[in-house]
Amino acid sequence: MTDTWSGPLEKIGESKYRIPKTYKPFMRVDGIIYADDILIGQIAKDKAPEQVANVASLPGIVGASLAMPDIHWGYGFCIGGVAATDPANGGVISPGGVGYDINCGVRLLRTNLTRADVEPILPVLIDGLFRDVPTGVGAGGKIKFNPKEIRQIMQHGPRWLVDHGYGWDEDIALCEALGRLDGADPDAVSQRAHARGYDQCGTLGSGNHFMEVQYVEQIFDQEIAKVYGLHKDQVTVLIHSGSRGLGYQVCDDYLREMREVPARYGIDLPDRQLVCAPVHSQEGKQYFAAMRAAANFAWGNRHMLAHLARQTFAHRFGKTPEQLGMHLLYDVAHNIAKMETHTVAGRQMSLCVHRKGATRAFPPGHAEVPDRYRAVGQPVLIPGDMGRASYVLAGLPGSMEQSFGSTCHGAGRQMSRSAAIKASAGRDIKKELAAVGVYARARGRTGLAEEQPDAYKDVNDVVRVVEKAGLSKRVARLRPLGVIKG
Amino acid sequence: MQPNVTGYTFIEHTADLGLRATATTLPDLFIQAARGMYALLGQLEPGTEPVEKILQLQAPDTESLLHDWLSELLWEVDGNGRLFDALEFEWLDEQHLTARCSGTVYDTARSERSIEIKAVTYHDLRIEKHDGIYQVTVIFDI
Repeated sequence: MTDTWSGPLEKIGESKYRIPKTYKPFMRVDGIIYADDILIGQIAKDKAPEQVANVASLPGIVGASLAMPDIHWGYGFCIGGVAATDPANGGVISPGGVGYDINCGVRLLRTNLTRADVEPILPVLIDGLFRDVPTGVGAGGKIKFNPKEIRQIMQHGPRWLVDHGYGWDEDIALCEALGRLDGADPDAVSQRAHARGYDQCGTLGSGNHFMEVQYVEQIFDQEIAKVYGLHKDQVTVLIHSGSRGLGYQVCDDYLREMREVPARYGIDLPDRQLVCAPVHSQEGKQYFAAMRAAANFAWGNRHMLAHLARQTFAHRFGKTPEQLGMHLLYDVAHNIAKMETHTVAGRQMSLCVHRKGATRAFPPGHAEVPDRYRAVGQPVLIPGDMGRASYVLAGLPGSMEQSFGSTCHGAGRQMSRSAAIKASAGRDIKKELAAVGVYARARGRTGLAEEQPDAYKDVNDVVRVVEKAGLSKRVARLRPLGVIKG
Repeated sequence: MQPNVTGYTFIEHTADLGLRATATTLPDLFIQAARGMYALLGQLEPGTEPVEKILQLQAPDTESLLHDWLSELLWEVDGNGRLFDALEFEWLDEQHLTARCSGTVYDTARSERSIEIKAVTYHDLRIEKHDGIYQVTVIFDI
């Protein structure tokens, strides 16, 4: 499964490669991969470029089938892929273009603490988070919501939670899409999905999801950092999670329901995992409504996780979260499909933008960037691996010109989970992390081994490429101090 | 029958995990794939509350039927805590199955779930038969 890709990759810029649409007869547009000479070698080690070509077959696709430098192999669509389709021209929506973890995303809290405030009590703080924040397989939430309340969260996202005493009012304006997609329909979500998710609002989950206490190691752009409220040595909290079992089930349900839909609409696909339906069809509308409900649930989940983190910090420092300055910096999705307005060849179009392992990166002046950030662009949050760093970027005009307002989403895996476990045999990953100043707690026996830094590409390389390409620019690098994982 | 043709092994994959199951009959292939998936989930210990379920499924092809079979069993673990250690087919053809599944609600206190399977995927899901041996590879999104 690690076959090297041998198809055409034409270098068309310092950080861009093209798979021409002549590569396969089914390609309607070119494939474009953002990468430099080093990363492209890693990218071509698996079949992800073939998936970029396959996605170019989708009806109604506009511009190009795009892939970010953290691209790696996924189901049907690669991870790190962006595809925009035009519903007015038969454009489709595909559950595989969003992924199983609908609205997996990242939320960043600021604090007014510095590294020096936190380091002396770091193990106590991380142990406290590990106890207070439900992690691991199937862990239920500390705060229970009944099925009717979960429906409200699916419809209204964090807004409903704020109205019921969780989190802060100001949090809402600092979420992508204000934490709520219109058109969410809990009735389009199966009973099974409701059941899988009902006690998981406010749970981290397992796999690559985590909560990290970090400090600002380096500022790259003082002006933007000031607007974002970031300064050197400041402590931040990064939360990476999604829609949990509810979202997985929605994706699985609709992959199954759509199995025979492409044939119904005369759509021929090179990979059945690309199953899709025209956005305007009954089947497409139904999936979109369920996906939006799961996306709103995911925003609710990260909102509750932030609430739990604020409580733990308050307890450990003997101050209120307000006194600790635990403001939300921003919350972004990186597995989602949304209707957005983009200008293509001088024409404004309403497009269905799929981002699967890609992050929205709207530039300065865009109407959907919160007021307080509008002059400098939308914050983009890029989680790295446990041993290196995460980044705060800012959207650039180039993202609107080239990638439907999108940029990368993380470091990107380069080692299988089992290879990572093998590579860690005889090593103590927890100790290795401690040696570089990171205190880690994980629930599973193999969680730390699977997610060790070597399993990922170097996030520094990935963000350098998107900056060179003009999609987003570096604002700050955040270095981990402590992490909890499922 | 050749020795050791029935069973499963785990395989690695860039981001996820999978298994390869082999058997001399199609029903046994479905059972081996199910046992492999249970093993991937971790160390699940049977409980004391007995459970039984008749599963009836229909799908457009055999691969989809296997996908649905494993997805149903996964749902029973995640949604209802049910672990079926006895799986018996009353009927299985290329598009339909009826299975009698017996087991217990697993003992969460004594069990250790090591991974969360988000879903059974369709990636490279192809049942092949060579020299009388059925084989399938199943990749799980974790």
